[in-house]
Amino acid sequence: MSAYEDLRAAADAVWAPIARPQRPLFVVSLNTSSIAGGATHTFDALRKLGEGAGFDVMLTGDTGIAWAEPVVQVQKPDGQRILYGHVTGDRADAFAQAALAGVAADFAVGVVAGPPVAGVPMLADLPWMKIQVRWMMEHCGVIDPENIDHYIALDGYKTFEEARAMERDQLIEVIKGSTLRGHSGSFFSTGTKWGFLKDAKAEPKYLVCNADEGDPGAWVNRVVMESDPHRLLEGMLIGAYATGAAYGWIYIRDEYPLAIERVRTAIDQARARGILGEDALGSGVRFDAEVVRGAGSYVCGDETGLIASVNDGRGMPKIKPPFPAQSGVLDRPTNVNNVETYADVTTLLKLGAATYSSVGSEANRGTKMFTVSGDVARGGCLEVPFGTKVRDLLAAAGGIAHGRALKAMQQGGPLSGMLPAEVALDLPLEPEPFRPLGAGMGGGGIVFVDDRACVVDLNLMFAHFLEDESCARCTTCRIGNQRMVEIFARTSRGEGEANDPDRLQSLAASFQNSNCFHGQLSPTIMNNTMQHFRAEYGAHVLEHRCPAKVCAPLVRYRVIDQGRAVDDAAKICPVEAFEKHGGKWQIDDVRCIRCNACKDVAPDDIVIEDRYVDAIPLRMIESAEVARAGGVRA
Amino acid sequence: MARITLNGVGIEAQEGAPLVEVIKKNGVWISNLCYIDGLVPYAGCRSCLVSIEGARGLQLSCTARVSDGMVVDTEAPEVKSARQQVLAIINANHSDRCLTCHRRVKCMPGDICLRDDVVTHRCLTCSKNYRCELQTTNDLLDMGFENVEPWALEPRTYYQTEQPDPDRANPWFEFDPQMCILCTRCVRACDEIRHTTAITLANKGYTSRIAFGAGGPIHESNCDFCGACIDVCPTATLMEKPNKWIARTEDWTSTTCNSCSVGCTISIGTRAGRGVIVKPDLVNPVSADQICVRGRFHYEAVPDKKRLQRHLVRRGPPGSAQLPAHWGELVEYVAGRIKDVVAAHAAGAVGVLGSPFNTNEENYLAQKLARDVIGTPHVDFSQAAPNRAAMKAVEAAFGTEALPADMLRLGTSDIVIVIADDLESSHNVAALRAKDAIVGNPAAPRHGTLLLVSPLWGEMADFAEPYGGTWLQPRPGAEAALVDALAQRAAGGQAALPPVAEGDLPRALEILGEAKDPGRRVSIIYAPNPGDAQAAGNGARAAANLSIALRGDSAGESLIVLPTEANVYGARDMGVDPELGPGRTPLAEPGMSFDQMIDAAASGALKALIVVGDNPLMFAPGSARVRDALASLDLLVVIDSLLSATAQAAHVVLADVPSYGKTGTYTNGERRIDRLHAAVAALGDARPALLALTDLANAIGGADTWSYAHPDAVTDEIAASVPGYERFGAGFGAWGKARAAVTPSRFERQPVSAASAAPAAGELLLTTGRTLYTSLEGAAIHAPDADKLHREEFVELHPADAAAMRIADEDEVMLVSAHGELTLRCKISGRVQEGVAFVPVYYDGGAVNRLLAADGAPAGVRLNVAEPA
Repeated sequence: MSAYEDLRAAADAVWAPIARPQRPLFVVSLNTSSIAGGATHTFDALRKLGEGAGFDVMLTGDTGIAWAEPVVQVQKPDGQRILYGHVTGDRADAFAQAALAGVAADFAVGVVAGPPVAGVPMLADLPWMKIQVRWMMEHCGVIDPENIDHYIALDGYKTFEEARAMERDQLIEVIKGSTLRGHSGSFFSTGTKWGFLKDAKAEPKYLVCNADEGDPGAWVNRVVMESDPHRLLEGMLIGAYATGAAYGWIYIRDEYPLAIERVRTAIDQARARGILGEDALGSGVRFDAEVVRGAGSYVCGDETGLIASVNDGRGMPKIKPPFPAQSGVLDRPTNVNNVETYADVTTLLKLGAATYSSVGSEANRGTKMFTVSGDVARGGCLEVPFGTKVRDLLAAAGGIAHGRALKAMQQGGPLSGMLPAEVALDLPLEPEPFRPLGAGMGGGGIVFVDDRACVVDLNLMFAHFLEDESCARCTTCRIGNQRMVEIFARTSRGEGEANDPDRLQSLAASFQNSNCFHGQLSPTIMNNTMQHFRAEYGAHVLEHRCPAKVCAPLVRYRVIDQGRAVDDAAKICPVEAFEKHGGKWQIDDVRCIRCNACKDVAPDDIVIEDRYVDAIPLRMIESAEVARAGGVRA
Repeated sequence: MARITLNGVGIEAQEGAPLVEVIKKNGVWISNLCYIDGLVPYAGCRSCLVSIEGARGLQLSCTARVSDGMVVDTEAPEVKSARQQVLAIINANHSDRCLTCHRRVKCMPGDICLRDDVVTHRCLTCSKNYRCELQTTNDLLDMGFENVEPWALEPRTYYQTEQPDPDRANPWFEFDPQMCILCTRCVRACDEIRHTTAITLANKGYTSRIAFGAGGPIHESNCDFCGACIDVCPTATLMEKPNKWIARTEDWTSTTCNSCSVGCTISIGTRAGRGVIVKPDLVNPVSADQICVRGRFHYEAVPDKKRLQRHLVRRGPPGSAQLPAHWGELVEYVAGRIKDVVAAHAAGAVGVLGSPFNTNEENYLAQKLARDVIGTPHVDFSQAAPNRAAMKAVEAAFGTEALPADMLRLGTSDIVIVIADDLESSHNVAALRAKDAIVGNPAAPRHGTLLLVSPLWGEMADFAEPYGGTWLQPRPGAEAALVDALAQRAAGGQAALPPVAEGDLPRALEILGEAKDPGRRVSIIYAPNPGDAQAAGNGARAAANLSIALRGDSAGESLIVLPTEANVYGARDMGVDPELGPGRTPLAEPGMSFDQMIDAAASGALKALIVVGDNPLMFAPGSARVRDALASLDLLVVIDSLLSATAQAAHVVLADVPSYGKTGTYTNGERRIDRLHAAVAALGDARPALLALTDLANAIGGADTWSYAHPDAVTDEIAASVPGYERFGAGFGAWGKARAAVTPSRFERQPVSAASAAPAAGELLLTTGRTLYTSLEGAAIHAPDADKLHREEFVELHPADAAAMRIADEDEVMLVSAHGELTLRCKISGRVQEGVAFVPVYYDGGAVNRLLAADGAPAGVRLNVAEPA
């Protein structure tokens, strides 16, 4: 028997009682989202209960169903498996009793397997699942990510066995032949990139996995690492074979402690099984890897910035050339892909090119994981074929919460742009259609914004982020973003100037002269919103009005109805802005800090209204006069 | 070569060269605020945009490389506009109102600003006004009032973000982060050019800033104050503190630094005849664009009022006042007294001291005055003994002391062997070139290996082990024995290696094995201790043995013996030596050496001494006997620009100009002939020593004895009459580029005598050496601020010794030797080894020489903790 078959036999033995449990098995999702929702309490409570009540408890990663966390799946010996949501620790007792007795209807989300249950839909029939093609996520919520045997038993590392049966060139050709491209947002052909590394002359060569997923609203890579870390390792191992790389670094942002822990566990287990190390599964491939913790710099998501950080340097994107394939980690040829890309290599080879190409769009075959968040009814992680319409994705996520309207979609982090509803909804989710719009699709994070948001306020927030995360190399980015913050900050104060759009235009042009994407793409959201939401800017600048009633300096709070709730609101006002005049509550606008606490308590009695209803925009007058005089102010 | 088109003009350029350098070299100005020639581009300022035909968008000329057929445009409207936009962004975080104001040329700092700009934000009130690269860039890019000024009247984060306070806590640098445009040139100059890495870019985003060390004051970082960062700073962020506000110069004069024998060329900026700023000059290719803290800042170590401005005479008994007198009167007086001495005794009752800080011209005339005019053979200088010993050893080994080894090779050597106390401190720029050989810079990486033999820790030690070399730390005085043993092993012998306190002897032998490979470039630097003649002779013999063992017949190409003082070789070549005449021709009847002159003076055999620039009371070991001997002279004439200890003891003091006011030549430690040009004006009555010597010669020998109208006349005479200096007449066109060296005629091993004895029980071994900061001139007049950082006013002790003697850091201790005592504070440091005490040799005017015997050998000292006053 080969080394792999030995491993497989041992793994099958471990997996068998999980696949066909003798007594009920409670599978608790333990991931960052669910832990935030209290899943550790659920897990502990169920384990304690299980000892007495005769059921087993197992942890799993992330089902992607973040909207129902903490998620627990109950697998019965008869093969029935039901997914329950919102199982918090304090309700675990009641839940366990109900689930053991039959179906815990209060918690049930869907039937994963087994016969239909009255009143509980089949999980696969939920709009959330119906849209999905779960290839990369096939093990998410199925296996214990901290147990390598689970992965091996489900054909894990078999793909590597098959891949190394191929010649290296042939393997790279297979990957080139698919449309597999980097999933991080750049969408550069993975096969081509691997070919660069393979053809690099210097030795040793290195692989780096970019798990510095810093885009707000994106946690695709986290789902993979927390749910199926070996899929990533197997992808890297295949990469090591294809390119001749000898060592790998997995650069995980420090904000992902659980992912760091699980990937480290996975590496240790793989090393103990002889998968990583001197001779992977007796194949002669020498590859080992380690986890590097990122120190919290957004620009380390750029591959050269990341390499600088792995090299113990300041996390600054470098000047190219040399490209990483010539000189990367320790000045050696290096290939950087992100987590999803490596995982997708495993997926591609596991499914075979034919199956892989059976879904997706013309230019982009296969699937892409997205995380949906923001003002949607259901947030979470989905894997859908390339080319899925945004409208369908939003529908799967239950649409915008509380029946509100979609205002804009912010996809792929602050460098990828923000598109208004009318443009966004009909877009297919693949990179190409985004480009003519002056935007990008990004790495998978999608934030839906409802009509309560103010674009100036959003721009200010993103500009602050971009300003703060500049590495400080290029003046265009470092100071340009400061200027952008200043302009949006004063616009949100109603002090915008008539020629600010020109200044932003000039900035946008200068940003193009930056070294890395952080600088070059800094003005993306600004460009998008200036194009699509010009009227809203105009309201801020010309009328000193924030149509969405968000920009604090442009609104005031007023009591319109003296309900009982106002008494409560007055009590919680942190600055004691509530005063009673003639037995009626009034809000002192000078003291009010617009914290919105009173509005939360008394939503019907207090209104937010424009502060300057008839104010004359002074700076406008000034600018206009100067313009009339035909001169430039000094 | 590639042919490219630049703004429509066809030019030739090196294929692959950085485009920005090619543009600049072809006389086309281009804004580039972060680029440093020769280093890897940082590409941070983004202001060097050009259009390159066929390329997408505009390209940075710093990262673009020349390729054949390239068509480059730096002046197209869209290029200029893009650059203006970028510069506008840079300006926005700088106090820029004056930068873009057309009135700047009309305004004075005190004028009321018509645009209501804040006083502290005006160029006109900035110390860098009119010598600021950012300002020039704004002017040349037409960032004027009518053109690009998109951020006028902007509320700025610049004003809103709290800026770190300026650092003005050290005597040399002023660091004002508010002026900073974060080009990081200083970071890269410090790291890649100087290999010091004292500066870093800290934080990110809008909080990014330049930080020294861990972000504290500069003097608490590992900064050596070389000022390379100042030279590259495009704004007023990093500035020289001395004369910061008046350093808009009227004139620049190229001359040579006199702080050590590297002989870096410096440019002195002057204003109203005063030196106000020093910049590196590119004349000497070894120093090129680098100098050290001494070269840059010691021009102002002594304030003008401390300089001699009057000629002084003491006609009364010893101890009576020195009174000002007229030049002519004094010259006549001195000549008369000399003639009296010669008449009463013999010409041999007169001695003349030259100096290794004098120009060749001064030394030449000094010995000529002695030998030709007065007729005495007694010519020497007070630090001559160690140098004479070393040079005799070299001569014995190679048949010449003018070895052909060139320090230009140092920076590209594969193996560097340094035998010195602390080369970083004594010969800073030589140490820099050695570091170049070891680490290079990212644009030109090098992987040299350092074998360091040093009894004292210096920064060079940090470049040994981490880069595959090793630092061997012998006992002080045992360096020669160690090096000689290494030489014997390298030659295949089986000599036992003496023990070392630190270091990897097997690795050292490996390095020596590699150094024998004729394909490797090897440089051996030996810097003898400035005081100990016996050690210097032994050391030079050992170093010569090693170079012969490693390099055989090409040993002379490798060995560089660097004396401590600037012009030791020039003094020897000019014949300031009792045994050698000009051109080092042996004399049939040698005169008395310095030590012999002192003995003769004490015994009454020497009656008169003319001291030209020398200061024996500072330089000669065993100061007490020198003081007594000088006191017993009938006539002591001192020509100096300072009232040094020796000048204070003199009967006649003729005020000289400082070396920055002299014209002449130096012969540096590798016999490169460097040129000095008078930069500063003479103060008061001071006259150059050449004039004093000429007038003295004419007064003694008769009216027309000498007729030198100008220093160049002496230079020409040297060229005509001194062997080896034939080329170096006043009209020579390649100063700093050519060397007076000859090919060795033999390669002979010489025996090295055993190391000197250890001190008695309860005593420490007192060693001395040159330190980085103490100013020669400041120390000569015992200025309390001779070491402005006050880092070197200590005796350094090993922690174990201090603990054994219950001495705490900074305690005041008294050092007592057989020859004298000295009280100073102690510094407990890891620099010295156990059982050793180190006192800087220039400390307080050479005070440590009191403790030493006449031979300057390391002495045993007891430490007494001083009683509290």
